[in-house]
Amino acid sequence: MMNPLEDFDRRFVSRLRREVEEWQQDGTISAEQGQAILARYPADSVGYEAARRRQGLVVGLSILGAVLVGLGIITFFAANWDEIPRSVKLGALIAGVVLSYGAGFFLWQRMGYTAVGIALVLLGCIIYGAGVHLIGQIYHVPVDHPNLTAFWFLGVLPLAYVTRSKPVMFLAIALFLVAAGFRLPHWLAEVYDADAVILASVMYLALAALLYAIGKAKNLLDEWEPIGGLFRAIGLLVGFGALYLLTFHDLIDEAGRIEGVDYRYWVLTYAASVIAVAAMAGVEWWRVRRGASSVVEPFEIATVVLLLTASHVLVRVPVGWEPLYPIMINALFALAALGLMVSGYLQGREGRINLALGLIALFVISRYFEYSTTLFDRSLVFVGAGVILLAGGFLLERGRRRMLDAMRAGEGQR
Amino acid sequence: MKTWARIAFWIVVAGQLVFLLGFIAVKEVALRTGTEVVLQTVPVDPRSLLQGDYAILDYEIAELPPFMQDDQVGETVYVVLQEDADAWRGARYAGSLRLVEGEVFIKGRVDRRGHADFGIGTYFVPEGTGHIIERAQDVKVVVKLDADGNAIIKQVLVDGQPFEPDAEP
Repeated sequence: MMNPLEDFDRRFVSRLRREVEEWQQDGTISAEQGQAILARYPADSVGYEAARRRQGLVVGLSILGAVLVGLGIITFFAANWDEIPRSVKLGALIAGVVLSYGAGFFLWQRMGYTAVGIALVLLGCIIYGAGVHLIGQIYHVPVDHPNLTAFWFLGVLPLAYVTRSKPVMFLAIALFLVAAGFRLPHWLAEVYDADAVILASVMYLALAALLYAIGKAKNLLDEWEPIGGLFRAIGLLVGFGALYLLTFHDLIDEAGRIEGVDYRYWVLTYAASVIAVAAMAGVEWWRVRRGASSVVEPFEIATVVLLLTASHVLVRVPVGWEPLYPIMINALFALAALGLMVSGYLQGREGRINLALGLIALFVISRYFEYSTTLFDRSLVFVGAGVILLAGGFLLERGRRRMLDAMRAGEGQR
Repeated sequence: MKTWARIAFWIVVAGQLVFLLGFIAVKEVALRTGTEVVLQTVPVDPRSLLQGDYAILDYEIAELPPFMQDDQVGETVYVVLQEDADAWRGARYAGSLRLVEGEVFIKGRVDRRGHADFGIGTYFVPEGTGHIIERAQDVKVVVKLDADGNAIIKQVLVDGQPFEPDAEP
């Protein structure tokens, strides 16, 4: 039995509603016909909205429950009680994996309890990861062994695609990023601290571009759109996080001549960069062929190319004038955040506008503290930062309201 | 969920179980069939979030000889071991393997300049018992070595006795 909300495409109904309004305005259909068309879909009814909110609560509670149980199991085995024989621990873990997947599959596919069923599948993924680490613990596999998280990721990723579950896919992406991070101490073992932070940020910037590009590619297929949105959101957050670290001039100042990096670091970073740009260009080519291109996509590709090139210059190209590096990265961060806001405005994505405003606020405050502490008394800095926050909050809220009003007015005119 | 997806779901779950059981099998085979040696260590006591308390074990044989000080991180190191009075010591170090009949060797990788890692640098202990190893005067590790020189920890000897988590420090 399928959950009635599961296959319901809210985006389709939202799009249909706008189309129906246009058809009515140009006289293609009458108002009664428009109402009749929309009445076929429950999205406009109060009952649907209420059900959707309840479903959201159920999903949130179920996922939280699965994560808490998973954390409990991990910490229980981490306690490493010697009273429990090794065979009992391993048997319990394997039984836990089977039971969790079995119960999840039964509730989801047979009983129609999608949210709880998926949450139990997610729990199965967590217990599988606990199993990988428990076996590592029992046989004293080195704690920094980079393959353990990679094994966990490789077990979860196919399940994320088979189930098309956002929580399971989120876990897979998170494990991918963590597994890549666990490689860094091995690849950057001979690199000084500041250089290692810069190199790590550059690698995560490339991985973020890759995730974003995968999200764009999935966007081409309606059935993968929700998963594509998750990839793009994580890509944006990780990418801006990595870029934010690089904006601190102290970090760049402390950096030396970067050498002694394992070749596998460069392979991963450059492969991710090239694949990301190629995938985004391919998606855009496909969209242009279908006549669906917009001004945002070429701008996104240009921004990603610019950021990846700048990060390459930062770690590989001596420019002869050190202050150029922080100026370049700061300018690109500001440009990318502004670009995100504009793309959010043009595409009607409120979340992007809010994220961009938050990033700009964070950027301004960070630079204020970074460049002021050596010039002013600390108390003056706090007072100044407080005033900036209040004034910035006012300006940001005013700008956000204006932008959202413009978006709503634009929707209303359609 | 379509039929193929249901089948794929259970194939992936089966794959996960096969991997877990295979992981156990590989380690068990190494423990049961390998050559046993005792190595001298120097431990400390940190904690892993995912796996609990553990002792970091650094080995006497991990210090590379002067001619290998410039070896790059990640390079393979072979140490031919020789049994001494209370532990096995490093008799010969090499980047590639040329064995004499009957020699016992361990394989590692350069993890930092002048130092090798043999994949046996972590020993997990029950929660709150790491101090027993940390405070011990002498810690040795019983290690099993497979035919390729890969090592797996069998047991830790604290002041000559097998590690006992319930023992008072």
